[in-house]
Amino acid sequence: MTVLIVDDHPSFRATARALLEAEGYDVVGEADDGASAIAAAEALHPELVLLDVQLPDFDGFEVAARLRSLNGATPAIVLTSSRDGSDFGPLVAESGARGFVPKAELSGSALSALLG
Amino acid sequence: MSYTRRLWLSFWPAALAVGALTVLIILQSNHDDQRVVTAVLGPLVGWSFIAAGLVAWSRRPANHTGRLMVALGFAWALTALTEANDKWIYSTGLAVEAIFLAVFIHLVVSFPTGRLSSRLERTIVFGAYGVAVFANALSVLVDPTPIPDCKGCPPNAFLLAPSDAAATAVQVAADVCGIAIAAAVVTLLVRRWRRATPAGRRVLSPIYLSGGATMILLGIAFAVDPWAGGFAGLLKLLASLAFISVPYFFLAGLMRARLARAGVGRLFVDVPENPSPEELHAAFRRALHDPTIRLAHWLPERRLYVDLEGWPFDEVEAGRTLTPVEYEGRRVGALIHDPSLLEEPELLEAAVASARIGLEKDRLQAELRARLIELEREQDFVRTVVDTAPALFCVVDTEGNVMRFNATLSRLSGLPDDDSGRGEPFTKLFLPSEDAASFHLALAAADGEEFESEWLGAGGGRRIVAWSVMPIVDAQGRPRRLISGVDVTERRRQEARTRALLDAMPDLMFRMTREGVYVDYHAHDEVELVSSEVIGRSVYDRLPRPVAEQALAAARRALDEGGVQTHEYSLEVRGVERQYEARVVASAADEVVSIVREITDRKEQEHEVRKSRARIVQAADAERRRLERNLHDGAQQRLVSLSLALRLAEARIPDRPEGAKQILTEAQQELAQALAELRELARGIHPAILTDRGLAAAVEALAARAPLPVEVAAMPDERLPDAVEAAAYYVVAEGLTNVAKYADASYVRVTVERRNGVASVEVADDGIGGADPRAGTGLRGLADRIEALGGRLEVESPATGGTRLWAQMPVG
Repeated sequence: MTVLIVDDHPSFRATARALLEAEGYDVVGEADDGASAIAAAEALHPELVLLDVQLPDFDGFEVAARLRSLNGATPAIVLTSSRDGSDFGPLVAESGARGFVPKAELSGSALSALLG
Repeated sequence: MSYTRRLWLSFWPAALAVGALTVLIILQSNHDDQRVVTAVLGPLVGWSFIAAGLVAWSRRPANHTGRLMVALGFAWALTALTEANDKWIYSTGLAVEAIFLAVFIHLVVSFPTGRLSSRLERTIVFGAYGVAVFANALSVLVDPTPIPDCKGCPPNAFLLAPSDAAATAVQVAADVCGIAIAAAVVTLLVRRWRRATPAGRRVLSPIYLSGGATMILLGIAFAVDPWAGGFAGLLKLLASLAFISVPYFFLAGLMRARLARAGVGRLFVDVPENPSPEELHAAFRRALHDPTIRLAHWLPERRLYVDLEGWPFDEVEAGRTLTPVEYEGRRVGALIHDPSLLEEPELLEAAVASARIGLEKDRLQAELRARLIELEREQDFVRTVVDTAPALFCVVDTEGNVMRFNATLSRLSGLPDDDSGRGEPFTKLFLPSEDAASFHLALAAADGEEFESEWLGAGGGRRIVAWSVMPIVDAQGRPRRLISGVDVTERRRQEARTRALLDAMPDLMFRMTREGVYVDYHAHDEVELVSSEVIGRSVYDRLPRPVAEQALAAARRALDEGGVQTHEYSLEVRGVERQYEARVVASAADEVVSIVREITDRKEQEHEVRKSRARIVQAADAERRRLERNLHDGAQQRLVSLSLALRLAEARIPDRPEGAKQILTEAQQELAQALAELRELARGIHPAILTDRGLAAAVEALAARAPLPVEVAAMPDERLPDAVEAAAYYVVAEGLTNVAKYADASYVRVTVERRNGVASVEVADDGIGGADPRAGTGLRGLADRIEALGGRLEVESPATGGTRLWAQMPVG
């Protein structure tokens, strides 16, 4: 599965890429803000976009919403950096993202579970 | 034919005929032992009453006394019928012989008017007639011997049922009634006598002496008759003598009135040519036998009576009668006398005639005296006014020498208004020496111009007097000067105190009308007035229209609602915007005083405090946000990456141990770095969601974490200033924490609204209430934070239940 990782922290992007690739995912691109994320998604047509909540320009939910309007069915999963996922539940639902995964618990199986 | 003559012709022949008839009957009587005496006395008594009655009747036709006496004379003649030998005439005489007694009682009771005026009088008289007629009529029906032991009396022709017992019963009943009537008559006469004035007694005495004696003797005779017939007979004889004397006493009374009238006619014989009021009164009192009589003059132009000394006459007191005295058809005076004088009209007429002469003689003098009294009263009044008025008055001659001065100036100067000061220069008595020249200038001008200067006060002090000089003319027509003044020392001192107070106050002061027209003002710096002219101008002339309207509204509120009304405004003075506060109070029915204080500095300080507080809050919030960002971007990311790296290393250990070792080494460095960052940042956390997503999301998050249902009822559509959002967030957080801890509530409603430039936050629960807002530091810190933003925090937590935490903050 082709994946686009969107996060403004390079160290996280690198670790996530290594982790996902080790689990057989094909990380086709990275982006460090919302605008470049949308541009990369348009260019690369990934099968999954992982979105950090906090981005320098838009937040992850905003990007998810825009992606849905652009590419139709490109699924997005929001990465949260803390355990206060309940804070974001309604926002996840509104943005059209498939769900959220705490960054520390990122794994192929977690993504698979959300993608069904 | 005169009235008198007609009367005599009508009654006297009948009286003579009746008298002759009675003489005939008596002389032929065979049962009277003293026929001759009876024949002489009987007619004489009747004629006496008839003659006296006719005299009285002819003199006073309106008075019934004369008629009654005539009737009594004829009734008396009926008693002679009992002397008749014929049984029918004799018996008729028995039946009617007591009627004369009833007429006699009628005469006595109704005297002197001849009329019965009260119910008691009518009762007595009708009772007397009743007893006189019925007792004797009954007696002749049952008494076989109406005249006991009568030798030769004819038989009782009317005897129907002879019964000694019945006769005795009738006799006893008649005696009892007779006694009662006699007692009532005597009581009535005594009471009247005691109430009568001396003049009244003089009128009553002729009849009361003779008639009263008759009644008393008859009463006693009736009383003792059953036990002592002989003594009763003697009493009846005495009563008869008293009865016989009645007409003679009555005639004597008439004679005395005539004599008194003659006395009045000679009234002025004994009086000096120009009698004093006392002498005139004494003469009238002597002549009329009325010690209370008074004479009064009539002053036609003033339409009032004055007494002989000229004093206005009070209303005629009760129980006195005023008889006007006229001369040639005009009223000249009055006699104020005892009403009994009306019973002696001839006397009163004579007195009025005499008074007419006396009063006319004295009229001019009386008018003069009345005018003198009036002038004296006027003078007293003027003197009282002049002496009690707060004004100072002094009359001086044209040279400035004192003639006289009033009590007020006497009190001020401590000098008595007596001969010691008269003729002394005004300047010497009342003024400091340095003012003498200016005083003489004022005296010479005497044009009423007002001056204000110091005068010499009592005890060596000085008084400030506002004074003026006017020309006047004294009673002798000499030119004089009136110096009038008012002691204004206290007023000036009060003004000085007020001025000092105003000078000490930094404020502007204005007095203005309800319409906003300035009446007075006080200002340290004229520049502050904005306008060069104030008094007489309107607020609209001095102030910009909005400020003027504000000032006018405050003035009207102060006048209509009372109390102190304040308003604040700003004005540009010397090119600088300045803030003012005006405090307005009503100072009169339609006037206010406005104290205006510049509050520019205070306002700036307040503004600065608010700004600095806001800065503090903003700085703190910024710091928190920075901390949170650093934490998120730094330590948190490192830890997340570390977590992923460890999992990756774990996965590589079985097949790529070298790669795993490399990852672990990097992870160790990452961890160290994270620890360092954490140590640096571990000072506090700002709610990340608030920063990132705003208040609405942050409140939703708080609501989601709360352990009880929370309704977020309203949230603003737009973002609020950061500081306000943070404060609102903390209000909600604190509120929800407290609800969870203490309220025992089942439901909480959170409302955040922005309206009219104010953000309001409310957390309301349905818990037990009764929370103490002063307890704990959480709310206090919150209140500080909100007040720093210019807002306020309130807690409503009644004991009846429910708690409401409520904050308001301006959002600009």
